[in-house]
Amino acid sequence: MNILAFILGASIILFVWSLVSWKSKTQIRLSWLSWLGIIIAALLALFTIAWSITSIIEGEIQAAGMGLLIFGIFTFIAIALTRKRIIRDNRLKLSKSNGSKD
Amino acid sequence: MNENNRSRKPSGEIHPDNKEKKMNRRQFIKVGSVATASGALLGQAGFSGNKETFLNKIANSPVSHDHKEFPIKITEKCQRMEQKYTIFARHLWDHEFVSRIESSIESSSREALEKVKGWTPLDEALNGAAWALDHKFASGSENGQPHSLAYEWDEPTRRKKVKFHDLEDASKKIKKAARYLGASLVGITRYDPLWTYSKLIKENLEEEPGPDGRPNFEIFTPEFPFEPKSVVVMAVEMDYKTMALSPSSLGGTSTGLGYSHMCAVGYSVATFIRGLGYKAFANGNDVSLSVPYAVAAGLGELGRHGMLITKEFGPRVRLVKVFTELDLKPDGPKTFGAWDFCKNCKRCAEACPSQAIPSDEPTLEGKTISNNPGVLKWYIDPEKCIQFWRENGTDCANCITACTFNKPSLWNHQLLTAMAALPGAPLHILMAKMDKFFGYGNVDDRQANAAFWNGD
Repeated sequence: MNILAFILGASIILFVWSLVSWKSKTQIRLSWLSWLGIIIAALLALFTIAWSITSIIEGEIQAAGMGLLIFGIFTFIAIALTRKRIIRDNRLKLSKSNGSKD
Repeated sequence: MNENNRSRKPSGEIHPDNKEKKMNRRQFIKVGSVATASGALLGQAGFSGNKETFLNKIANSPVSHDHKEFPIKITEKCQRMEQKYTIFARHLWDHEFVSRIESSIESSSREALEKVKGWTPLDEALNGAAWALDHKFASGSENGQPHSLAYEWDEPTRRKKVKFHDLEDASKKIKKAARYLGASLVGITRYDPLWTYSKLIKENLEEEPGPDGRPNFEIFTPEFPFEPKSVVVMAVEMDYKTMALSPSSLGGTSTGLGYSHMCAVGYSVATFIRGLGYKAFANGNDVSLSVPYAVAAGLGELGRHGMLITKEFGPRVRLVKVFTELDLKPDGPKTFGAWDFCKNCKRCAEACPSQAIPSDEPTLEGKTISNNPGVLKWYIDPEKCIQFWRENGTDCANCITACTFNKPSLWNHQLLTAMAALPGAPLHILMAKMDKFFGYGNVDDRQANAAFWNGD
């Protein structure tokens, strides 16, 4: 179980680092709804990883697979919806910056 | 003009096209702190299943409800039961029942079983080893035989009594000792004669069977050497992995080891209390009913399968009690939604190979003379159950294995136990179905039986 805590801790650090890195490289603005979506998606992803690893450690491989499938689906839905939100929020800004390039 | 000047607006702001924005020291420290704190919090939370961890506290906190009264309906029809009517005692006197059971068993079944994984001589040897301590120190007690070594009533007691500050102090010390001596769960309740058998039955093991081949036995009214005031009820966890091999002989090792541990724990705790100067004796399946005492002591709830369902381990526990003259502060009954969940789940009824567990609503009437009517519960048919044990060549624990609450005490299962406390038949049905889809509660898994000796 210690390995699970290590993996989750490392995943969080990687996720936060990637998020800040990505945000600093782009000029994308995130509304509160986008932030909420990112946090929910991240928590779902962590839950999926935690469930699957715990089930593997328990020896319940079917539970691990089903967990990946079911909780993973919810995670992807959250990611897709959040991505859509972010694109919508920044559509005007992106079209402006594309126009100025021309 | 150099390239850097072309990338800057006249106002000095950085042009949006300049995407090479690097992280400065302040941002690095902020990001690193947030990430490290998050990781440390999660690590502190711990997914180890330790009851003291943060996540387990969250999972457990809203779940239990305390009760002042016994949470199961008992009518006046419920009387003290005579031990001879318990299914394990009927072989001593109920010859019609024994003939009925024996006639249904094929004579060649034993030899055929030995070739099946889970019933091989290797598996039987492990089963025998698991039961060894119980058979040595509490022989026959699993079938209700009273006065067996570890469960003797009148053992030497220290003359001088140890004084406690108050009842709560005494209860706290007894529980601490019980956990140290091996109890997985411990609770205290008042002695209630309703749950003690009105008459006991004891097989005379020292005498040869009679000319008709039938065992000798005596029936007597229990007279304890002291007036019990308190009952220390303890649950001993059984092994999860071998329990999952039910109904094989290999699966039966979990039960056997449970009985052996329970006799050690019961005798040790009774000895501890006698060492404090108070009379005490342990009992398992003999002398009194275990499940009502466990419910009264707050260890769990009564399930559809007739067994105690604990929040921590489900029904995967063995119960042992210590009757004592020491006055202790009783714990009250606790519920956590198991009874309501059982109404909708029915996994045990589906897994029972002899259909001994009912699928309908709880009633006040029993099915056979081995049931004690007058309590609102699901009455199993013990005759069907024991018949399958005979056909199976060993005891069966499919109901325990299949139970949705039967899980290792890990964070994910504790979270789901907390969710099971939420009301709503659709939620319970969904959870029971998902439990099956996730592969939990499989019974008669021959592959798992075959793989047992290959693992660590």
